Amino acid sequence: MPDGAHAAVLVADDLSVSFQTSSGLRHVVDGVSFAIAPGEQVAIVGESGSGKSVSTLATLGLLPPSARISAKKVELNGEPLLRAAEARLAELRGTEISMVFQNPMTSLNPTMTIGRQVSEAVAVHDPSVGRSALNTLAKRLLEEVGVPNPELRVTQFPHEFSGGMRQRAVIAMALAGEPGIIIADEPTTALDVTVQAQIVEVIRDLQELRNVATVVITHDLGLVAELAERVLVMYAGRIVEETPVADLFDRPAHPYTRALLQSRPSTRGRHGRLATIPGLPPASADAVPGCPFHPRCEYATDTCKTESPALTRFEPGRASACHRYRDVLNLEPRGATERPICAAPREPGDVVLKIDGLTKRFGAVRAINGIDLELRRGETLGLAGESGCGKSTLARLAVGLLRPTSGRVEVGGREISSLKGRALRDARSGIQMVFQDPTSSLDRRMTIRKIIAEPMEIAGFKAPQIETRISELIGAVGLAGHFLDCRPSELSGGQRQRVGIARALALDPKVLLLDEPTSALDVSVQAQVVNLLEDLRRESDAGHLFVTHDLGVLRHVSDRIAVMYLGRLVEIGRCEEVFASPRHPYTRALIASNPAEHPKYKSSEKFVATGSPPDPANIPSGCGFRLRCPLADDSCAADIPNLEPVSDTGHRVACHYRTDLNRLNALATRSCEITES
Amino acid sequence: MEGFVALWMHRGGRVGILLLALAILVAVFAPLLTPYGPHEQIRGHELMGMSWEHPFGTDLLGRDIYTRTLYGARVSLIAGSLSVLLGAVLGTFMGITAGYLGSWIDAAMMRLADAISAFPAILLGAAVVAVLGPGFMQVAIAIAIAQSPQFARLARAITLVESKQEYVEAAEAMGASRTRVMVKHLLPNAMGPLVVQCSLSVGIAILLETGLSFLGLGVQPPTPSWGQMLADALRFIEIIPAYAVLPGLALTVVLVGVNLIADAMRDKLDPQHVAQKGA
Repeated sequence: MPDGAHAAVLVADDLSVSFQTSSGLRHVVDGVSFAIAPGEQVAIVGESGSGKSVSTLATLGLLPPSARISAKKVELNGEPLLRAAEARLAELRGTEISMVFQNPMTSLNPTMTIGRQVSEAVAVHDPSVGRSALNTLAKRLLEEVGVPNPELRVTQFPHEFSGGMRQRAVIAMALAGEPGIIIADEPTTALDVTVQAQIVEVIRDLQELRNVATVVITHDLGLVAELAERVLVMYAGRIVEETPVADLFDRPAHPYTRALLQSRPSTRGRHGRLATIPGLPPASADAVPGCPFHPRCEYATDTCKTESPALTRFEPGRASACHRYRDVLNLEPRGATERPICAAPREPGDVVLKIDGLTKRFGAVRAINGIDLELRRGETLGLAGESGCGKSTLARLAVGLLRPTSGRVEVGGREISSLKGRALRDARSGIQMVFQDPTSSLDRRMTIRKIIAEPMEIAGFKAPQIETRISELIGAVGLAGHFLDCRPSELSGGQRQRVGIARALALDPKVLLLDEPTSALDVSVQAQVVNLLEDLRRESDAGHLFVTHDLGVLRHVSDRIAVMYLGRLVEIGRCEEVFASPRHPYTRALIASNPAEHPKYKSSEKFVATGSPPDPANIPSGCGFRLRCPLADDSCAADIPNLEPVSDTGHRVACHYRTDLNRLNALATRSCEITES
Repeated sequence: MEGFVALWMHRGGRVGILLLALAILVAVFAPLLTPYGPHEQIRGHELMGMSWEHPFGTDLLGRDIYTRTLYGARVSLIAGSLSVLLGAVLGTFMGITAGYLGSWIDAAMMRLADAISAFPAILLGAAVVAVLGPGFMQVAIAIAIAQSPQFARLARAITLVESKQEYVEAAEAMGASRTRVMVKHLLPNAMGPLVVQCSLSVGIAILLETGLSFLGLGVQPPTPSWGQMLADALRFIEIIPAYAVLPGLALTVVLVGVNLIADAMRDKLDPQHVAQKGA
């Protein structure tokens, strides 16, 4: 480097990207400028469609040919990238700059051993390295990112790796060329909570031990708190705020950032209704005159409607693209708790859903291994667990989509698990389900009207009756009537989920099963759906069974929560009690693994469960969690702990150490061996 | 209508539409395009070569070959589309039930499809005609059976993908019967690719019909069909070589037209493309 002007590793100046689509030119990135210094930890945060991924992919030349890119300058270590030859770009990628993508399932080649893929990444960087040296290097890299037993692991194929291990391998490959900068695009989004916490540790180690700049692209403000020093907030293809991470959480300088922060449910407390951002982001960066956020902004003035605010630096390291950033800065921080943490438990109503000794096997896979559960009228029971713990299977058993291997399910006092044919279909009207993916859960060939009408048609309602009910329902879920004649593709994700909810409510069920109803949605939209569900529960007296892996949402909505691990309940109790004093090591791990809500809570001493859940086809003897549990001893292997009460409020825990608070509390500072091999 | 416009905008599709439209017009307005009837035998004009009165000659019984070719278009087009329609209905039914209900029904349906497609189509057609006797409907049924495995496999593949979508589960969870799920949800969502498959199959069906008629297993005389005429032409190829020209040409035009449309449909209505638009 000739002089200090090239102090930054990656520079983009006035970068714009647009795509040619069938409906015209769509501007995705609109005049974005940033500079990443060596060793710096940057996060780019924004909701889907904000242009956060596209702007970084554009700098690397990784966009499809339909993209039109323009910029005053895009430089990597002082070398211009925009007009660089593809061969030169390929050379730079992996050696000067590396990417870690979201899905480790698809970013590895399934036909090559992990060892070969990592050593190939090394060889690209330095072709002179010999074969055996390559192998050694590959092992060292895998070890560095926490892959246990690298000697064996290099000979294995991606399918023999769990999701977390694959993402580690991808990170090892990204490190292979000793790049000056690593860009991680949603590196933990596809992973389970406890595994996500492990990957956060890996990235943090690499930030500390290697002097590599990291750019983490994410929608998750928790991840930002964990992994960034400096944050760029993007909205509608522009950077709307640039700030050190602590100020982002304490003194946001843009209304959008502020709204995003407020629409997050918190695992640390419950703040009444979640703040929501009305409306939707514009489809194209130039679709809105003036400030792109003004139609959704509660502080917008007439100036905002006509003049687009420039990104203005107002303090060292801080900039905001808002005409009224001073007013926003001076706003009160998020209001104090308006309601007690977790709502006071309501008067218990009748039992509307009773699950008794339920088991389900799929061949050798033991998905559900004996579950007893009661859900009462007007109550929300949150069901938490990681993928593969059987929570979706449990939901499907409860609706009668699957038949249990043994045990019973009663809805409103009527057993449905033994019913067949028409009787089963009739009984199902008492229990309805809202699905995770609002895109695939609505038939794309049907209009919204037909979709909502379908359960009533099946139940034999008369046409005029259906019409009236449809207009009631569409209003109840907060959608305008003109949506009725649209097809799902014309609606946004949040609107589609509202349709899914309207459909589930059509028959006025006693039990509403919500299978990850907010996981596919952006934060601000998630808040709207959560609020809607809260309102609906208050108005009707159905019991809600809310299945999710997101503890923030869970804590916000639940009266009681149940934690599942490998097809069993390991802990169940009143929401505030479980969060305040979790008695199962797994519950502790889950809560600790949730990304910090504020950088001040990030801690390298928190309890991160190692490994990933064992295969449900090969469940260990005794307690299912013992292989990942630092407290486990011989008694845990010998017998399966039953759910035993730890208080007189119905808090029950399946752990031999449920009353040994000293050992449980010591968990936070203990690290343990990785048991996955 | 939207689909038609899309096809018309496609270069090959437009040519295909024009060729097929020509064939359909000829079939419909055949009586206006010739002074002769299809069965009309003109004494003394047997086996004539090209002449002003009979531009493409006459056959052994003194019937005008040009006239018979025009009328033959009716048989080819109707047999082609009818058999594909039958085959599509049969195959789609097999495929959707197999894919959705699974277990032994799936195994039975798909082994049946395997068994059908193990025979060369023309042989299978011959066997069916041997059982049912020759004739127009019999030929259509024979071709429909021969074509059903393709539809069955396609419909089953789509059903397997679609039935894993949550909307199918949602329908089941609200108590929809299996028939309702298949008719109201799976069938409409499988329609796009099935229509493309139909257009691809029409050409093959027409060719099969011609083949069966050529072997004397198809439409029976005196109803004119191109296959029969080609078979006759073969017998007299040394006396009047021009006999085969017009039926052959007509067959070519129709096949080229149908296949151009099929290709255009695949380009424009590609299932993946449609799915993306729908998503």
